[in-house]
Parts: sequence; structure tokens; C-alpha cells
Amino acid sequence: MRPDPKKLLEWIKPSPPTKEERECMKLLQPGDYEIYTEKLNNFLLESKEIFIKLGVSSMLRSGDVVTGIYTPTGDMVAAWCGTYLHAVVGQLPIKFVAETWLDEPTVGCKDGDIFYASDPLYGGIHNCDQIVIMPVFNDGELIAWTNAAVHQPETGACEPGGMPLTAKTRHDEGMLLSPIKIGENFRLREDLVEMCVNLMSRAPRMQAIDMRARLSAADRLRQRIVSLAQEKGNDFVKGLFRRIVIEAEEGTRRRIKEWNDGTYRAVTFMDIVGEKHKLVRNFLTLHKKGDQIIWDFTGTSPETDSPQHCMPHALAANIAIHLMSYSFNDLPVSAGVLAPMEFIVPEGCMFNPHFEAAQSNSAPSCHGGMTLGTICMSKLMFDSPQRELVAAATGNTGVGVLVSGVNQWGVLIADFLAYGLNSEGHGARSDMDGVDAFGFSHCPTGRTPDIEDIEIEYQFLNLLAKLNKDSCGFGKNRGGAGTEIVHIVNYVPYALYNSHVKGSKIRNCMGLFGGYPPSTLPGIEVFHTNIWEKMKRGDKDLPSSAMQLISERTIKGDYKIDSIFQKTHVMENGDLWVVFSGGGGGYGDALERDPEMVMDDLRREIISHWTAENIYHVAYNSETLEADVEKTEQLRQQEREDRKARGTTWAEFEKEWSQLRPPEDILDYYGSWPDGKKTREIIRL
Amino acid sequence: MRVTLDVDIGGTFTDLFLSYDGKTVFTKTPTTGYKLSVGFMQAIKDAAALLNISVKELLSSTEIVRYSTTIAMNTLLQRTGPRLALITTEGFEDVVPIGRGASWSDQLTFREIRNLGRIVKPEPIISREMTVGVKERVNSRGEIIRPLDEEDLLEKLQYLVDKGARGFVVSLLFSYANPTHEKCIAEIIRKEYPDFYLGAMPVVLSSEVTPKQNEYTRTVTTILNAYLHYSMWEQISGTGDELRDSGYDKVIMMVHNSGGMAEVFRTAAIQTFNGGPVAGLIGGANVGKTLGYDNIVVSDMGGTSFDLGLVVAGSSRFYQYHPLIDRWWVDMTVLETRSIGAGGGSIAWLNPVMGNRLEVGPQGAGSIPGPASYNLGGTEPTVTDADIVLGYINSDYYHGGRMRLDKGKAVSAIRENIAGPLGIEVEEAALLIKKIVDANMGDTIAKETFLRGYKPSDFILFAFGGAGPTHCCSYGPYAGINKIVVFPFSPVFCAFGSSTMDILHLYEQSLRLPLLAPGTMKPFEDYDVFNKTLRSLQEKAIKDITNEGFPVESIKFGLEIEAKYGGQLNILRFMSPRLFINSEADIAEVYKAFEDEYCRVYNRISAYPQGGVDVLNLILRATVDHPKPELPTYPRAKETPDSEALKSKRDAFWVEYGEFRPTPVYDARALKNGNIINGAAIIEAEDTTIVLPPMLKLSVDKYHNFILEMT
Repeated sequence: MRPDPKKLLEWIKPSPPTKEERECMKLLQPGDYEIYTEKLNNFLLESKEIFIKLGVSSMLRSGDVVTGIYTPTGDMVAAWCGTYLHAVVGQLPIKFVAETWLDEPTVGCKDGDIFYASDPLYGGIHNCDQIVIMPVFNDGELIAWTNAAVHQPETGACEPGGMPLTAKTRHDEGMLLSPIKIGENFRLREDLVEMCVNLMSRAPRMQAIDMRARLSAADRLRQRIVSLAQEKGNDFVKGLFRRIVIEAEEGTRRRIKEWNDGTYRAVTFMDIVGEKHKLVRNFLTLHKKGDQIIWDFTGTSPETDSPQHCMPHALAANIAIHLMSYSFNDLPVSAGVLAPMEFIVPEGCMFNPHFEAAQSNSAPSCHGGMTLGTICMSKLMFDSPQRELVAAATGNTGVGVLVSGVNQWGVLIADFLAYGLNSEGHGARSDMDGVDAFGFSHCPTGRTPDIEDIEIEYQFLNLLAKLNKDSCGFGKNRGGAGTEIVHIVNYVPYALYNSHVKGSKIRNCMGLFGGYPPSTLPGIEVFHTNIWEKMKRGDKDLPSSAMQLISERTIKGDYKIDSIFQKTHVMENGDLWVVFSGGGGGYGDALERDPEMVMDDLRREIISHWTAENIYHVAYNSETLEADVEKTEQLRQQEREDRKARGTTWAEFEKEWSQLRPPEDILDYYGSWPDGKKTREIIRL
Repeated sequence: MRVTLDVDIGGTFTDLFLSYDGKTVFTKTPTTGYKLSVGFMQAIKDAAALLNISVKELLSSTEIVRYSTTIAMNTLLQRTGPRLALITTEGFEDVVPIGRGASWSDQLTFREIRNLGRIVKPEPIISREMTVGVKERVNSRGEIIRPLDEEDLLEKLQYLVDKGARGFVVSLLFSYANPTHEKCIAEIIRKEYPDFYLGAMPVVLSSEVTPKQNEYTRTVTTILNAYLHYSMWEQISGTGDELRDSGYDKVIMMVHNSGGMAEVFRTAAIQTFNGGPVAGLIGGANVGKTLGYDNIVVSDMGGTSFDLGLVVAGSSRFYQYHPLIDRWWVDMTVLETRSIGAGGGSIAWLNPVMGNRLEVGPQGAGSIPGPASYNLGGTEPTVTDADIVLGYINSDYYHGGRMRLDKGKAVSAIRENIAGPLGIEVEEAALLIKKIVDANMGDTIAKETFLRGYKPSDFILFAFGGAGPTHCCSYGPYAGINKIVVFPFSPVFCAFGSSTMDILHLYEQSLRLPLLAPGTMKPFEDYDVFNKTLRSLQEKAIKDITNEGFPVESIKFGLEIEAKYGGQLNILRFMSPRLFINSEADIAEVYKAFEDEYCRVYNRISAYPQGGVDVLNLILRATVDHPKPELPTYPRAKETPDSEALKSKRDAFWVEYGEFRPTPVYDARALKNGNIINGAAIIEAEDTTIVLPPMLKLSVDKYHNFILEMT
């Protein structure tokens, strides 16, 4: 009964229009399509506002949600995002319900039914992402589906926070719901709600409230579509929906066709596998031919015994984030955009693992893949009318820092700390810098909470929260800077946290066309500090940046400088740790950056003097920050000469390079070196 | 004799509404951006001329002058304010540049937000170079956990002064809970840089501007206030001087976006943003009371935007608590109006990506070059051009004939840009343009009404603005509203609105209290904390309003509370049934008011008191009622309009007939109480045109308002 991965991948694309739908499309009069697509957008905005206002979890609060409208067969018509990946995969559990439960006598589907799902094997991303699905009936006919989805930061897994790093199989990951009917007559069944709440006993209040928020949003959308059908008729609605999907597909194909045919490649590496520091590779070969794009991920490292996997449909949905917000941002958020895309994801690689594999870190496992998509699409669009959409990758760090325990108000919580999550750097563009602390790579409009919001709600005080100096990828145009924040456990005896942040050793975010990748993200913790005494005394030497914290060490305590990714562990009152969000990739040669812009970066404290001198090679007065243009040109010319002197022939480089090999102990999960082929079987119990 | 004078200074026109001994007069003059008082005084001269009296005669008998202005917005857009410095808590200097992450999306349309390749954050008003962090810290409970380091402060002040600071904004973490450090910094600055040093350097404290939680909005609000203060003051005092020189000797009141008015001297710059549309909403609520309408959608369709607001049960009760000013999210209570890019100047265009889908707006042609028919160089077709092609607007009587429109240009623009590429007739293209823009406006009305928990069909529509009466019979029904009122003073409705305002001051203070505890749902017991905070707000209100010259007894107090269910993001504001809390029963009543409002706006599904209920902010409303002008009434005439009211006939296109038909054109000024006109018809006023389709009838009431409804 469970759909196989190929079927799920196929389901992200629209089904062919039926004869009936084609007939229904003829009902649209001139102007109707334009008018009613805007009406649908207003429906979506209304349901999104309801959703955000009623929910609790930090992902919901920061707007990382989707509410969507789907055809009776489950094709995505339009969605409010939030995050595009939920919109894309939102189709799959609907298609499963439509195909499996609709005519099943013990389940069935009638007006007022409510379905609920979270299992990636049935089309989700990972089991943190819970989704409400509602059929839309009018006059007894199923005319559409609506949904509302958001990440839930607790799943009842073997670690708090819903994304256990130590999970070996799906059985360590807590509640995994195949699509089930969880309510009837427009109401949730309280026995089933209680079951879910019981499974989330680390954060029961959050589960109880957010389930209701999802339902409220999906139901509001349902009501609006019913009223539209009552006004215009069911056939009109079906015709409108299908036309939107078709127009999106045709628009996408037209644009692709304009671009140069060719093959584009990119590679990224990630430095964690579950709870271990290991190296894995992601590889993409993108073929563009005619009006089609083929995404071939052959060469990606094999599956592991960690939760660092995702299903092929989840990978495609993460790639869609770039497609929907760059290449095809002016087309509807509709399944039609995905119609011209083919995905090749070899079985047994980390993007297509055994069904028993753990997948709770599905979204972070795609960060390298997301960078690949951006790089290849930017190369493809460089020589096209869409040059202005060419960009280096956004931070793609996915700053998943999950805290749990009792908050200062005595309430059990397990939640994301959303500050770092929503303040990653944006990738540099072909004609301008990336945006500092722009948002969240999975949800561009993600919002950081105010410090006062964090400190009044949670069990932390923050020593500092600011842009992280030198965190951006340098280049002719620089990437956006990331942030740094220092959390200190406050008001309570202890708190727990874990971190899924990668990039302490190597970043999976890359620069473009000679631009630098952004900086790595160290892990910094200080235990048993004297922070409260120092504050009380009014000591002058409290650090005001993470760099000062570790370089001057004026706070007494046990310093642990390690990896930013951490398993769940206890932090006592007064203990502190630093969370960094990654900067975005740079674009073009740093020697081509306007010296005035380098000075401006110094004034904004985005870069250090070291960087201005050694990366950008700018001559300037360090007190007035006035650039000496003539001398800068001399320095840069010298650096160009030095580059040539350091250079070598391709043959010599290749000969030397191919001899190199990373240390053996970090290659455990890489697969064969260097091509990442499967080298062993994983036995899952 | 009662004389009141209300002026709304908009970006293009300065509107005046004068109530003079039972008569009403209105004028429209061009806004003089270089010096607002010039346009302001011209409007008064025009009004005096209409009454055949001198300006001095008019102003010396005027009891009150009220006005709204967009000057603060102009200063912000042009960045012509002073060089300011920001002093904040060390380690948190990037609050504004970080901008809660996605500040790049603030004020963008849905379509713009999706285009991640072109996003840019707003440039901070105070640069990072002019921002310093001082060594101090207050925690979330208002306790000082790191004392202010004065030595460090002095060094940083010197740095800022050396960099050319002309004023200081101080915004420290948790200063709303404990302002000690902010006050201390202000004292030190005043001591170190007294008035004789570089002139008086203003010091603006966030704890005084908006003592509310969340440092981003508090800091931005404080910065905007400080930045706009001077230019605002300069313009206002200029206008005040001219008024006084011309014989006016009473107070000058300013319209606040909170929906009330206050003396100019007690007006902060940011309280003047969006004052015009807010005045329109208040005017709608008040005139609604006179006409007996409780639920009203107030709509204003101008050249570039379509603004709307809601009146429910006779009250303009909906507020925004974090409105956007330019691209800045601020923390202040403003009466809620919504705006979309749809107006007479909205440009129609074909979207090639979507297979030449016809789109209207959000880009507009502005007043220069304006619609193609203005013949000022514009070549892109607009809604106004479509209206001309369809025969709705008289190209010889635009703005009462003060501006001639070129129908040929309108036809060519639509033919070349829309009809030709789509292979359809020009008239069909014009009709599509009109349908699309009307549907967009109607959908927006519907969405905003639904979002507040109401059905559009329970509302009546007030339509004003230059293009409102032309399109209301279409966008109203799209929203599901079938009864519409158009006013004789529609073109200056916002100025009229300010004539109906009361004195209103709002006082806000963050105060976190667990109204009901999570889990146990136990009511809080520390009534003193709640009551003490409220009393201090009340004292401030009494001081301010008595200083404005009103007696204490005239002040009416009302308490609004912002609260949320435990953990939920959404803060809901509701009217508290109790001013002070003295018992568990009082708390039960307050909770019930919260729950009722929550369930009405959202639904019962998500109400979850088991998770606790947190009070976050208290808002004290202090109002003093102010007399409203009485609308003049007119004697009843017969149903059929006088023959001189019928100006002519011209061809206009009607969807219901599917063709152009000769349509009677009436002169709005000649219509009388009791007249009835059945559609299709066109009614021309000096600054607007009412388009009455078939199946609708227009009746004139005793105030000479036009009531449009289905037959």
C-alpha cells in the first residue's frame, strides 16, 4: 500500500488534464482567469494569516508554513509560502489519500473529514513536518483539497527536538503518521489528538495548539473555495484550477527553451553524518535540453546509519525552493513548474535510502543539494535574459538549534531557537551584494525573534546578538553576512540543547565564478562560568563578540571549542554557547570589488581589517577609512602577478591533486574515494 | 456662529472642508511641496472667496483648525533629516540592520517578495558607524544585572560627537521594563553637552516614546520620531505663523493616525502618518451614525492606490499595532486602513511569462506623465484610459473641465499595448482592464472583512476618492456588497473626516502578567501591579489633556488589553470590561471578553486556555468628546430630476447590454433630495463621475448624498 519512492517522485509533477477538466476550462470567460487567480491568492493570504496567528511553535511564529490548494487528484494549484518545499510535497499525501482511502469502505472521504500525515514514506519531508489535509466538497462533489503544514519541533523521538542526531532507523524517530483520518464533521477527534499529544509529552501544549492551528487554516481555505464554487459552479472551479497548472507548465517550458542547451556540474561536501564528523559528497549533473531539465545526482555519497537522508521527492522539493524563488519566481506556485523536471537519484545514495532508514534530518541533508541547484541554475541562466537572477547560494546552514526542558514559566518546551535559523546570509548576485541576515534558506521570509521576545519566553539570557564579522563569502559582490548569538542558561537550573548546524570543518555553501565560500562555523561552549558575577560587578571586559569571547577569555570557565553540531546535552545555569548562522556565497573575483564598498563593509563591521588588506588588497587609512584608489590598484596588480607565479599547468595540478586524499577516519561514510560509490551494506534492525 | 476648518494635505492636492454657520464649503488646491503653508493658505483663500468673505474675516471667526499632512513621509523618503546617533546595549548594535531577518520583505507585494534575486533591505536611518553599544544590562524582569559603565559611555559619546552627531536616540534592551539606564544616559548627555554646545542636542529615549516590549520596533519607532521631528516642526510652525498672521488665534489640532486629534505641540511626528485615510475612516463612522448605518466599508480609490477601512457596529474599531511606515515596522497603535496598488492611474500590461496574461497595477503612471489620455508623455494604458474608452469619463469635463483628456491617446495606448497583442477589440480590452481592477479591489474588501470575522454582505459601502464613484458599482458587488453611498463632498472626504474627530490620547505600557496560569488556569493575584501601572498611565493622561485646556471631568477612560493564549504568537487586543482589577470575578470577566473576541475573529477550535493566558500590554484610551458638524439638509423634491439636471447623452458600454448605448448624463449639482435615477446613467460632479450600470438605481437623500442600490 505504501507508495514506492519512484511513484512519490512522479507525484510531484501534475497529472495530465482529464477530458472533463479540459471541458471545464472552456467555461472561463475573458478576464476570469486573471480575476480568479487573484481571488485564490487572497484566499491563501487569509488562511496563512489565520495559521500564523493561531500557532505556537517557533517555525510557525517565523512564518515557515504553507497553506495550499490542490486539484481533486492532488496537483498543486496555488500555495502561500512560507516554504516552497511543504507546498510541493503537500501534494503527495493528498494523492495517497485520493488513490487509497477515497474508495476504501473502512475509511472513505466525505465533507468535513480531516486527514493528518507526517511520514516521509508517504510523501512528507521528515516526521517533524505535520500536515492537515481537508477535502473540499460542494453539492456532494469533491472539487479540491486544501492543506496546512508546518514543522513541529517535537516528535517523541529518542532525543528531544524532533530531529535526533543519534537515530539509526526510523524506529528511533517518534511519531510517524501515514495519512489517517483524524477528524470528521470539521472537528478533530479528541481521542486521536490526545494520542498525538501523548506521543509528544516533551511539549504537549505545543502539539495540542498547533494541530488546531493547522486545521483552522486548512478549513478557512476550504470554506472560501466552497463559496467560490457556489458562486461560479463546480465546473468553473475545476477548469480554473487546471488552467493555472497548465499555464504554469507552459510558462516554465517557454523560459527553459530560451536558455542554452548544455550540461552543468557542481559538487559540494558536508561535514557531519548524524552525530559524527564525517565527510559526504553531493554531486549534480544538470542537463538542459529543449524545454526540459534533468537533475542527475549520481555521484552522491551512499546512505548511512544516520538520520542524514532524504527521499528523492524531498530532495526535489528542496530544489524547488530555488526554482520558485529565483528562476521561475514570476510563475504561480503550482505543480506545473515541476512538469519539465526529471530527477535521477540513484537507489542507495543518501537521497534515496532504504525505507527503514532514519530521515529526521532530511531537510539538513539537502543543504548541499540546494547549493548544487543554485550553482547549476546560475550557470545555466548566466547567458540568458534572466542574468539578474544569477546568484551564489544562500547560507544553507539550516541553523537547527533545539532547546528543551522547563522554561522560566514552568512550562515544558522543546523548540527551535529561531534567531540563528532565520538570519542566514543571502548569496551575492551578479550585480550586487547578497543581503545580510536575510532569512532562512528553506523559508526566505523567515523572521528572527526579538531578543526581548526570546528572553521573556525562554530560559535564556543573551550576551550578544549581531552580525558575524567576516562570515560572508568575499568577492566582487559579497555574500550576505550571517549572525552570532550567545545564549546563557538563565532563571532555571539547567536546560538541554542540541544543534544540527554543519560547517565547522567545511561549508556546503559555495561561492560563484571566483567568489569565496562563506566562513566555517566553530562550536563554542563555556561551562561553569562566572558570567553573573562579572555582570554584577560591572566588569568592563565582558566580550561583545564571539571572537572576543574566545580570544580574550575574560569570562572564567571551561571552554570547549569544537564543532557547532552537538548532540542533546545539559547546560547548567550560567553555562553559555554560541550559535552562528552561515553567511552567503560570494560572486566574482575579490580583486574586482570597488574599494569604496570595501570601506563601507569596514564601517558596517561586516569585515575585518585583515580581510580588507589580505583578501581585497585595498590600501586605505585605517582611521578615516578612506581608500587610496591608486595604491589599491598597484596592490591588486601585484596580487595578480603573484597568482600567476603561484599558478601551475592543468596537467601538473591534476597530477598533484589526484594524489591527495582526506584522512581515512572521515571517509567512513563517504563511499569510495573520490567518486562516492557504495562500499558497504547497512543492516537496519 | 460655529466655524470649523479642516485641511488634508496630500501628496498631490490640499483638500479643505469648511463648516461655516451651517453651510459646508470644500476646495481642492495643488499641494506645494516646497512650502506646505502656501497651498494651505491658498485653500483657505479659495474657501473664503466661495463664501464671499475675507480670509481675516473667516479665520478670526474660526473656532478650530485641524489638519493632516504627509510631510513626515516626505522627509523620510528624501532622507533630509538630521545626522543622528544611536546608543544601545553593547553586543546588540545590529538590531536595525538585522531587521528581524526578512526586513527586506516589509512593504513589498506578494510578487516582489517571491523574487529573491532582487531583494534589498531598507538602509538604516542611523548608520552602523553612528551606532554604539554601551556596557549595561537589564533582564526581562526589569532587574539591572550589569550597571551602566559611565566612563565607557563618555568615551563613546565623544566618538559620536566627533563623527558629527546632531542628536541621540537611546534604545536599550528591556528599557520598557526599567528605564533607569536610559534616563541616566540622557542626564549625562545633557550635562556633557548643554544647550550652548553645538545647540541643544536632542536626546530621545525609547522608554519614553514607546515603552513596549521588542527592541526592533521600539528602536525603529524611536529613531523615526527623532529623525522626523525637526522638519515636521519647521513646516508646522511655518503654517501656524501664517494662520496667526491672518487672524486665527485658537489652537491648531493635528489628526493622529490613532483616530483622534491632539494639539500640534503634543503630536509626535510618527503619529501623523496616514492621517488622511484615518480621518476618512473616522468621517465614515460618524456620517454612518447620522445616516443610520452600523457596518460600513469605507473605500477611497484615487490615482495610485485603493484604501479601505472597516466600521463595525458604528465603531472604527480595528487597529494595527505594528504598522509599516515606508519600510519600517513601528510600534504604535494606528487605526487600520489597507491599501493596494489600484487606482485610476494603475497601468495595464501583458505578462509574457504567463502567456500574455492581462495584469493591472500595481505600478501606476502617477500624475506625471499620468494616463496616456493626459497627453503628458505617458504611453502606457491605465484604468482612467479604459474608463474614457468605455464612455464613462467625459474627456472634456475632467476635474470640472480644468483638464482636457485626449481620448485618441487612450485608444492608441490600449490598442497598441493590449488589444493588438491579444487580438481583441479596443473596447473589449478596456472592459477587461476595468473588470480586473474592480475584481482586485472587491476581493481585497472581501478578504479584509473575512479576516475580521465578518461577512461583506452585512456591510454598506462608502465610496470616495476621484475614481471611487466611477468604479464602486462594480467593486462593491465583487466584494458581495450591494448598497453604496457616494457623498457630495466625496473628493474631500478625508478633510471632512477630521471635522468629526474627538480629542484622543493613547497611553501604552508593556506589562506581562499570567491572567490565567498555564496548566492550572489559576487567575493571577497581584492586582496591585496591574492597577499601579494603569494609575500611572491615567496620571499622564490627565496631565496632558488638562494642559490642552480641557477639564478633568470631560475625560473618558477606556482600557484595552493585549493578551494571548500561552505560547501563541498572535496578540489580540480587546476592550476590557474593567478598568481596574480587584477580584477573581473581575479577572473572569476580562478573560471572557478576551475569549469572545478571539472566537469571533478566529474560531473556537484554537482557543486553548489550558495553555494559559498572558497579558502583555495595557492601552489606556483617554478621550474628550468634540462637537461634530451637522450636515446641512435640503427640502424634498419630486422623484424625477429637474430637466436642467440632464446635461446630455453619450455612448457608454454596458456589460449587461453587451454594447455601447446612448446613456443619459446628469449634473450632480442639479440633483435634489428625493430624485431617483435608474441605470444605466452617468452622473458628473466636478471632481468625480458616478457610473450607474443597468439594474441599479440612484436616489438622492436629504443630505444630497447619492444612494446606489440594486433595483
